[in-house]
Amino acid sequence: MHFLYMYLPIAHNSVMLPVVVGLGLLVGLLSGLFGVGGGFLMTPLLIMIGIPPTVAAASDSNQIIAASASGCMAHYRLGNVDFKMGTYLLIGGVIGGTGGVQIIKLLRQMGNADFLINITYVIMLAGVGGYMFWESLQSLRSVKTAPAGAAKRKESAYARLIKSLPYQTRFERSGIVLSPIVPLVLGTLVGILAAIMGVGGGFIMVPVMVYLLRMPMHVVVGTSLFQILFTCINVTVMQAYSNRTVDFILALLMLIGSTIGAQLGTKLSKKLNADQLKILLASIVLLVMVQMFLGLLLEPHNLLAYAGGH
Amino acid sequence: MMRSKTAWVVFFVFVTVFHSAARCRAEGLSEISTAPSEILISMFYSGQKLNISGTIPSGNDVIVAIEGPAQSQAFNIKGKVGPLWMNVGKVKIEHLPSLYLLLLPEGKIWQERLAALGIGQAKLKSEMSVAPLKLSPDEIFDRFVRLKQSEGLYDNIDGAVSYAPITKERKRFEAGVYFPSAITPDDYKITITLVHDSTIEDTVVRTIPVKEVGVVQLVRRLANHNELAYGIACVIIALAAGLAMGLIFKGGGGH
Repeated sequence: MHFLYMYLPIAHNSVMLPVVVGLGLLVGLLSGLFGVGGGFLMTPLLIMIGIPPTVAAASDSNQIIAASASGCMAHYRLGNVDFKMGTYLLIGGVIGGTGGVQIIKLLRQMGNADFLINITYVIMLAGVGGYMFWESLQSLRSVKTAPAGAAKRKESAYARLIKSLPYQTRFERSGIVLSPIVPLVLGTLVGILAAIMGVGGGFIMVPVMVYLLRMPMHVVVGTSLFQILFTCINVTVMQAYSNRTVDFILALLMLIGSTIGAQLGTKLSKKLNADQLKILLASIVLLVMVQMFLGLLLEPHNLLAYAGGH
Repeated sequence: MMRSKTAWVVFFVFVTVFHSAARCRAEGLSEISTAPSEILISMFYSGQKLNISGTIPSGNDVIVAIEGPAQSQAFNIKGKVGPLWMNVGKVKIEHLPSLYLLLLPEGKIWQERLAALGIGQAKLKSEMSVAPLKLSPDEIFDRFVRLKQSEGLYDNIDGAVSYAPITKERKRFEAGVYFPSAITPDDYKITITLVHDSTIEDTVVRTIPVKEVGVVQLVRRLANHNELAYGIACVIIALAAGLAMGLIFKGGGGH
């Protein structure tokens, strides 16, 4: 018996307390800073410390509830949560998630699921991270060089398309006028991708809100957390009920760190401008992409692995 | 008179047989004990030292095998598709224990004699069942053992058994191992084998129960028997923790 360790009843393993609380703090910080759940980072880290993949993913969802509630509350106080937009995206996400689960079942039957998951993951991460990084860098440079009141860019075909859609509604918090069809459709697409990739989808949703919904970055973070909160509540209850894979003790240890991290992240996000935030998030997404890509290129240490993860 | 003689003969035969059996027993493994007698998994459990001791004849050796319950597990097989490594198939491995620790006396010679004695991983391999058979059983078994070794659940530990003389004829053996943390509650089998040259002289089997207690037991029972209530409780507690932290930080945050 050692008080630095704690036994996890569902994972059937003991973990070092400072390690798990520290991981929670790190992921909570990302959550408060960028509005991502951090599942794409936390789940592989938990697997690395000996947690079975299914338990890692399910328990991470449980702790994200705490981190996103904590971060969402902090952003709400700052006026950064667009509940209306979040609700439309959430409805789309639930529809897309349900459809995505059926798609992945079909792919598994065809035997190509894992290949498709890995390739989709790397391409999505590279595309999203690369574009975000490049765009923010350009934006940072143009702020430095462009004279005040520079000419307005020509309206794109995409902008004309979303303007032509029916039921144009004003989203007060985001300061935009948009048809609800747009967030519903985009939410569905992200939901499908998230289900295929087995992640919450925060790191896809954030760029979608920034570039396709044209929401201000700070509102994006708060609104994304609001949406993640409800997605993770659904996932946690479903995983606990269907698969019995939620380890509450593990989630509790992580959320001690993540709730504090989310608050610190929110405070830190106020000190950075939107482009700096985007560049930081893009760098993390690209790092994860490189790590995943190397995992695909380099021969694994053992060619046998527990089923349940990617 | 005749009856009385027969009774005496039968009595002596019984006495001789029991005496011989008792002597054999005394010459084999005796005074076997395990400490602790059970392993309790509490909230702060992170593995536990387990000692197995007893007495044996001076010229013999002891091998101790600690075996977990047999499991049926699904695994992904990684393979190369073009330049990329990924899951290329699934296998189900059955009839292999969740834990297998073999405690051996000092000397590398044991590793070679185990197969001949029918003890150790060679025996496990012969009992294993794999479906579908995408790779050779030998290859699957080697990969399985490597995976379990990385988790500290499979091992052949040289020098884990030590001896101390008691009399000219008998010596005391002591086998010590650190019971790992990645275990499930169940009855674990301890097989103590007495070996002389290349033959097995005696075998004693003991069971060590591994039980969950306190919060660990409570959480697992709730998760397994009241799944929905457990899921909802997990959500409520996480929400409460998140919101509470939000309130604590309220003073320092804001506009």
